[in-house]
Amino acid sequence: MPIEYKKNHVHIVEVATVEEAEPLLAWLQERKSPKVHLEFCTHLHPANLQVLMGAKVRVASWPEDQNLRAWLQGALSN
Amino acid sequence: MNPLLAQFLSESVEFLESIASKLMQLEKHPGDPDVMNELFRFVHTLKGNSGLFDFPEMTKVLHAAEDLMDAVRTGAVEQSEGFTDNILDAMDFVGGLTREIEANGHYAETHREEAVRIAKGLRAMIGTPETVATNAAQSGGGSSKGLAGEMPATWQHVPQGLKRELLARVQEGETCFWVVYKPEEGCFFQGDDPFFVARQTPGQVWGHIESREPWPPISTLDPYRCVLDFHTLAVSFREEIADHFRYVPDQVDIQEVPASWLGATEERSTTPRVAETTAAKAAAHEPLSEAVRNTLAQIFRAQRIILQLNEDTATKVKRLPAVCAVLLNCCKSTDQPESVARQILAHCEAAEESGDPAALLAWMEDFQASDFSPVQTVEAPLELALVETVETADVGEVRSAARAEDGSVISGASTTAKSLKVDQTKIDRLMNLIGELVVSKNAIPYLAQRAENQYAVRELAREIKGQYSVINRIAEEMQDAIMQIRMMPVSVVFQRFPRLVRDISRKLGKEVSLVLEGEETEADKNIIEALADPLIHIVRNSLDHGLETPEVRKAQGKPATGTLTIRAAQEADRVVIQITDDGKGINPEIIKHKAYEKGVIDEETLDRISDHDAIHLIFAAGFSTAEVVSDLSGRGVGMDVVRSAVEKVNGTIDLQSEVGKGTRLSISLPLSMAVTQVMIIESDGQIFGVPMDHVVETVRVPRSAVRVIKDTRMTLLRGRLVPLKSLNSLLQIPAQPRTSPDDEYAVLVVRVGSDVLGVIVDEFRETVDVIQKPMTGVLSGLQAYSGSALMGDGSVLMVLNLKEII
Repeated sequence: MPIEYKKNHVHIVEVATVEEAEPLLAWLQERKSPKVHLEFCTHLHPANLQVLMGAKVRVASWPEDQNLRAWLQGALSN
Repeated sequence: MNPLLAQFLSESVEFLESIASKLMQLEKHPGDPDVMNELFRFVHTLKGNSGLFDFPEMTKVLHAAEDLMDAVRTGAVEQSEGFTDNILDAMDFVGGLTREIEANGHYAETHREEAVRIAKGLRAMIGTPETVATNAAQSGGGSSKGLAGEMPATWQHVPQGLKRELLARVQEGETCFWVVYKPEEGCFFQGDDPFFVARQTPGQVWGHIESREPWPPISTLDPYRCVLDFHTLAVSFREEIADHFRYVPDQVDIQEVPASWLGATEERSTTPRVAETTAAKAAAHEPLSEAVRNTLAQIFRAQRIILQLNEDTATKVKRLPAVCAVLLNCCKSTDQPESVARQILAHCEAAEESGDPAALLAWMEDFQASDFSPVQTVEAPLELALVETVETADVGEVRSAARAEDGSVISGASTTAKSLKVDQTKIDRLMNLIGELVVSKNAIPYLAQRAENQYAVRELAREIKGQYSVINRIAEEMQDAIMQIRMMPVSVVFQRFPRLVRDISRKLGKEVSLVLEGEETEADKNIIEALADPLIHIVRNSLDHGLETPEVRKAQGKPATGTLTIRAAQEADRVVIQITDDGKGINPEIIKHKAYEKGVIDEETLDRISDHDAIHLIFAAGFSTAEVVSDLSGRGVGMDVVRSAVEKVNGTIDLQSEVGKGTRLSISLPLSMAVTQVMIIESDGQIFGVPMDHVVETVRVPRSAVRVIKDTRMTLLRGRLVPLKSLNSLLQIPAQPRTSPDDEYAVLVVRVGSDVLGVIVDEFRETVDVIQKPMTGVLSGLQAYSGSALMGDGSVLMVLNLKEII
């Protein structure tokens, strides 16, 4: 599974595909202040990114992939 | 050229012709829905076909044209003179591309901007800019040349350190581009990942993602409507970036970043740059100017042509030093580093030793691709002139060689083509003539009978029969030969599927294994051609709507890879093509309600309709369940087109589906004017034909051997129970079957599908070859007969359709 759901934390590992967006959105909708861990994420489909951005989710850890990190920091830092 | 592309090109010529003539018709009768629909279908199919190849510009223009036509068709946009002009222009453009492809195998990259312009023009006619794509196109186009445009708002996010670094690189002569990619809202449905595309931008050094609109409350967020814009900083060449985004040129804006954005003042940015450039050039590896690159490309090409000339090794080796000298001089005049010159020398020496310049050629190609690629297409004259002169020289050499060796060389020079291209009308004429011959030949046995019975000249009758058998043999062979000319294997149509399936499944993110069976099955050319378009539509539909994504499949306990089987087989006088997928099947409930919503059926029908009939509603005109219009399927024309195309050639179509298990679509097509061997039988004084393919045997069954088991008459035939049916009752003829003087029934044992049963008739007659003509007009509603045939004595024989009556 590229996405592991914990109680209030979600870990995105490697590549999150377009199909993950819907369950991710559903999960986020039910949480008050969810946090996302991205350190092992290498790429995520923009549908997932939209969901994370729209939910204004807090990032607990940034990707190790420096390039991806630069992209995401601009989009998810708030 | 691969056969698929050749076929596409020849088809597209036909399509373009039809489109032009339909447009003319439409201009005469504005708003004629039939013409409009047909026109739309032509463009739709052409667009679909073009998608098989890597011609994004062509597909893009056709897609825009299709959208415009759809808008006109539905009445959203009025049909004006400009409409016809624009569509014609677009089709001319497409025609130009196909001609170029036919000549060179590809078209020049310079068409990219024109494609964007035409597509923009077409979309502008639709009026409402339905996608952000159009906005992007209007606000600057795919390749804005503005060097000192306004600094974009997102520029502030670029880190200072990076700006300094980039400034240094720009001052060293590199170019930095600001690429704004605004993907279409619906792009996720086409299997696109714009973020991935943006990350893969060549020379990408920094990127930023912006949302186009403020975020809605999370409860109403739609994850599948793309609202993100991707801003990228890339150090590369404009061509390379444009090439990377070649599928979406109207959704990107590529702008060169002026040094002033990077924090340089005017004086600082220009003066040192010039100085440094010259210095850098002297040092080495400096991007060459456009003119120099073009000239170099021309020189390289010429050298490659020389190296590739078809010559004997000795001559080749003699040419090598000259090529080597040219390359070294190129090197010197463009200030290439020493190492390049050494590489050239090494390759030339190696080639001289081995007599094979392959390595040198490969090196030249690599070097050209990595260090300079032509900015414009190289003008042909030089190349042509060169080839011509060298070739004339060549021919001279060959001739003298031929003379010297006593003409033994010549044979290789002129190889005559073994195949012959014949106009189809000529074949059709042959076909008609042989048809007449077969029928009139059948009259001879009657003549023999008359000679015997009426004039009592037995001798003559026997001779006539002898002659008849000779004519019969020749006629049969001739007929077979003519049919062979017209026969084509279905593989002609099937061969495009592997690529089609691969491309579409990749686009949709699905895993599909395609199984093709019975590719060698042959059918008449007309039938095969009629089959091509419907099959493509069906396969697209199966992939798009039928098969699920690997995740969904796994969740349902199916193998992740879906299977799509296309099977062709000959069944009696028909070709049956089955397209089977193990996808999610068709849910009759959904179809019913969709059909009701779209007004295809009324409320009463909604309640009454059976599941089997309900799934057949997908063939109704204007029915489509897809919400998203993609370039795959979902326009509501697909299955409608399929049905009408199949019916046009007297074919039938049947659909079976089980929810969750899959769908099977069977198309049954006639073999056209195939000669059928039929057995003539008699019942109640009338004669009927039964196709010999169905006949297993003829037997006489004593009345006493017929048993009745549960209302069904049966008889025991070699230890096997065979149900018996009387032809009279099957055809509702109010007469009892006659028996022979020995009180025996004449039973024709036939095989229908997998069942074997006996048909009780009055009498058997001979078997004859007939040319079966399909029933036309009011008679076409008679399901009991598959067709009629003209007999030698001028009477008409009705051929029974056993499948229907039993």
